[in-house]
Amino acid sequence: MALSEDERFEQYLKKFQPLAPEPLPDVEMARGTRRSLVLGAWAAAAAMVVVAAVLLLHPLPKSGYPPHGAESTTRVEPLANSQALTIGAANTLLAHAPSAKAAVDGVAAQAFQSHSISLSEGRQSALAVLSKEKTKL
Amino acid sequence: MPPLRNQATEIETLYRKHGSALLLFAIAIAGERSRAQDAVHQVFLKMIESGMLARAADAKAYLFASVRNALLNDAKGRQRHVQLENIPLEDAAIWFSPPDRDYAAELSLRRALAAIPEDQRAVTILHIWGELTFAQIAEVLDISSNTAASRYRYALARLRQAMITKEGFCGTF
Repeated sequence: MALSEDERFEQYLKKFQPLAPEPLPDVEMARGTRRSLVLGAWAAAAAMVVVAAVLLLHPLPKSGYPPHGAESTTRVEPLANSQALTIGAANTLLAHAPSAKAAVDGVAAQAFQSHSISLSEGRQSALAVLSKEKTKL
Repeated sequence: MPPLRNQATEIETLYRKHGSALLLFAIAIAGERSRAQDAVHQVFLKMIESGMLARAADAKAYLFASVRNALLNDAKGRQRHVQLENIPLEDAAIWFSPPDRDYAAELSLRRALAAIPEDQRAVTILHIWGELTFAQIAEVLDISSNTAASRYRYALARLRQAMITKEGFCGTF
């Protein structure tokens, strides 16, 4: 039985093959990514709640300076009163200081304190040595 | 194998079987290959996630209807509808792998499809390349079977006219 014009034209059109689509994204991977994103979001939210609770219970000091009376936590313990500020003493202070600022504070405190300390014979304070030096600029 | 895994495999089989026709149908609506591809992927991935395919009586018709809905929703969101006849088809990506690598004929077919009204184009693609019956097409496009058949006849006549007069394909089919 002969095909009609329409049927022949349909057969001709069917010879044109639609192009194949891109492969479907990996379903398991997409599902896993979505799950990990959700878990990550929950974990971040939980961490924020914990941090907020800790901050509420133990508020941080308002400024960068330690509260009055808490100085001793960061301050360098001055050397024994009997010891004047020598180069060696200054080195000891620097070595044991928790921070550079604390070290400088400690050295300065010791220096002022050492003015009233009488040194034994043959010993000089570091400040005395430095003040005698003539620096050429 | 768990039921979900079974269903995912079934859906991937459907993708391999109908993916090309679905993509063509989507391009004919969207006018852009990338948007069309996204819509087809979106439909399949959503089906795998939700397991909606199990509830569809006619999986093939359901797939075409879902792709059409996805594209219409996307067009609503963008507040613009692409008119295929306004797209310069010479520069656009091809839609078909033509017989005998006849790319002039491929361009001619694309032009002819772009020139017919959208509702006729949809019916033609669904019937010829989607291999849907007029009853299935009626379900996809929410029209009667008679309307689908009528649109198809009009479309076929116009396509044939366009391809014969412009490219001289009289003797080739």
